[in-house]
Amino acid sequence: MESYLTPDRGDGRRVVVTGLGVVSSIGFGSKEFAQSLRVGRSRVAPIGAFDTRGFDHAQGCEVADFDPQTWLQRLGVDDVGRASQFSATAARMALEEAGLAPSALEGRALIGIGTTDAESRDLDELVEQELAGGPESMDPVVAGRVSPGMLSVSVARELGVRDVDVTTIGTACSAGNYAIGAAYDAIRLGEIDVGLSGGADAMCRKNFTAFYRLGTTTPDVCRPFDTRRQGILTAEGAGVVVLESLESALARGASIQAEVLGYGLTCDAYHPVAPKESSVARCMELALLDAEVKPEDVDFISAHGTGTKTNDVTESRAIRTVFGQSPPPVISLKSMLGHTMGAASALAFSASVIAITNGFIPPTINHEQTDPECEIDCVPNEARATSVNVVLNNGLAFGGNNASVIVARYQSEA
Amino acid sequence: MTAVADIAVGQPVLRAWSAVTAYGRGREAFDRGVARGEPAPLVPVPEAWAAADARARFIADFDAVKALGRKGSRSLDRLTALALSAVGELLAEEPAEEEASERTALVLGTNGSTESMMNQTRTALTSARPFFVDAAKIPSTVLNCAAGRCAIWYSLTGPNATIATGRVAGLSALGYAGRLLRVGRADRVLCGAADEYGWARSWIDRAAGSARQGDDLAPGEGAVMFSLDAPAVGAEDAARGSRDERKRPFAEVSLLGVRQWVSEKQVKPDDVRACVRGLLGAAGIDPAEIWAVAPSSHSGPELPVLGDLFGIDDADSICIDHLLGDMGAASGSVQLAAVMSRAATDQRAPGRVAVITCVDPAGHLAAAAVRVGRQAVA
Repeated sequence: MESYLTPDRGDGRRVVVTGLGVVSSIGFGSKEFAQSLRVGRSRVAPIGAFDTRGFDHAQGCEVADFDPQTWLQRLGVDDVGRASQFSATAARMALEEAGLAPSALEGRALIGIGTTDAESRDLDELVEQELAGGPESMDPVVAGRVSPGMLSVSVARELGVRDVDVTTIGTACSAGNYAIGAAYDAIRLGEIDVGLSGGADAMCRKNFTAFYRLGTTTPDVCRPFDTRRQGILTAEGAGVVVLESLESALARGASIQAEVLGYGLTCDAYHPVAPKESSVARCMELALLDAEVKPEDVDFISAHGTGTKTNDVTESRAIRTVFGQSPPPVISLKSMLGHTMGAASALAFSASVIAITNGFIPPTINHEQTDPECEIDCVPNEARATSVNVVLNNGLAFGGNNASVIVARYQSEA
Repeated sequence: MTAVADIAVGQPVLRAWSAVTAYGRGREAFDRGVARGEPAPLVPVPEAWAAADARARFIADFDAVKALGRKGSRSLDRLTALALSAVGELLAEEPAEEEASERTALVLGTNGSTESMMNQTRTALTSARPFFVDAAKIPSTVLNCAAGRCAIWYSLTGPNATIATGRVAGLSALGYAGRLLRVGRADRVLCGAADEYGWARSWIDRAAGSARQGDDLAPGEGAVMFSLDAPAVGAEDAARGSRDERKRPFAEVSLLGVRQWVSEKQVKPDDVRACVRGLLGAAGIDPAEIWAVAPSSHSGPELPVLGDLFGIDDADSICIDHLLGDMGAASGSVQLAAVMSRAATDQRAPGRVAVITCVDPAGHLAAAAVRVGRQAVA
């Protein structure tokens, strides 16, 4: 299979996953998260982050009982907004699971956090203050922490790391995959040894208003690929993973969970919000090419699977273009998590790693009848115990920002 | 007279750039403005904007419809329109090949249109129902709107990324773009940064205390875009290029590296020193090779350290914050453009290195190094 990348990139350095950090509505930490995935848990409730009067429906998947005081060790709770609190917390969890001290990141790491809304929850608050008392009444503490850069800066600051590449990637609902991909490339090029990569977002009025106004929010539950699907449940959380060069992981005797084989990036250049099927297909093809994986070797696809009319049928068709008449199972983790925006593809990546190490395919829950236009096996409602070797994880965002990542079981012989 | 110097083989090369700033549209307008050294006009901000500043160095005559034509521009936010204009100016300098669109990436440094985000919430909270917002403006409320629009407008289907790291975003974006090229995910990257002026940014900066004092450092806005090409494979490849037909002097530079640093609170001189030393060490640059430094500010931790490290005093540094004002998320890119501008005519530049540093009040620092290569003088 032809490689579309520079032949001599990175001396074939391999990139492995050594830690997962999860802040979500269905679990804190990878263990709780894994349990929820196994049983098909979801936590849907009326949105509490803002006053929802006036909306006909306002259900979401918020992270319940998140007390920043409990989780943050160095950052003060007012130093950063909620999304940054999530990313810092998930990053610390991932690092601890990997058995790496923060000091091990100095001079050899990249922190990349993807997001859709960054600290828009704080922007909403500033607007409320402005409406109540004029712009002079904007709270300096809140105003000082709204830069999107804070989502990744907060991770470094929470860990006390200084000599580190820090990037907030604003590519919306595929941003987690972008962050994972950026670290993958940087490790392969030998620029870094460790990546702390993922995504984070916090529930906010701004986001819910947009999706509601576009008619893409569901009144009750999220039903990807189901005939009666009506849209997304807005959600929040963070997923951060530790990526490491294989040499670094082996040298310190780390427990290796999986290996990142490659990824693809395309841009639809088509429409601000509607996806372009051929570009989605091309993104998956590029990921397979980069990973040197054949379609028939993929054990399941973790779809973007928002549960909107448009996405699910477009994505299914694109999958069939690439994978033929008998594609592998195609699941949507958004059925359990809701749409966690910038965290979505990172949490889905983490779930894919858990699937590999635990030997099961997480289910697409809330499923009653597969839409005939989505000709896929979505592993309805119950997890399927099976050996999992290779997973393709899709992120397809507004603005046509597509990113697909391939993660696989680590085998010491490549 | 043409001065030719080695372009580092294996490094991405900046072969073209353009800008839309208060100095006007295009590279030549920017070159002229910076060369003259006169600050861009401090213009009274229209009352209707409800901004925090009475005057600012915003682009008073900039209008999306005027800049881009009527078709498709009515609902564009100011930030997106600025980015689209700058990309258009860049592509006029260095057109994109249609067949190459999948291999042409776009990486934009931006904090997004905070204005659009806050306006939407404001509308939601002051309307009869909380969802009575303009659907046409919804795309403007996400961080990647401008980058996505540029892709649509100019048919760019290669990797498309939005880097949202405040004032250092332009240098962060350069780092991301360089990596795409080195690993082979694109053959060319249109890379830069943009920021818009408006009530949202002005009041947030005022409240946060990051609004800088004095008219000299009034807020500015604009967009700067570079064309970054994949590293040369060999010396012949490195020597290629047909930029000699330009009307004005032009320099190509190679990107040697970008390095960052996160401070405990605000960036201090020791942070600048450590970051710049790290950058030079990683890129194998001898301090004696430094031709110029370009800090983001005349005040603050950068100049004293850069002066100390390289023996370059204020007079020889390239710092234009007093000319175009606080450029927000476009800062790092504007600084690099000023370096490109100076490199085109400075006879001491070819073969030597410029160090650019950029400080964000959140305590985030970025430094970049570029080597000046070919100069073409008409």
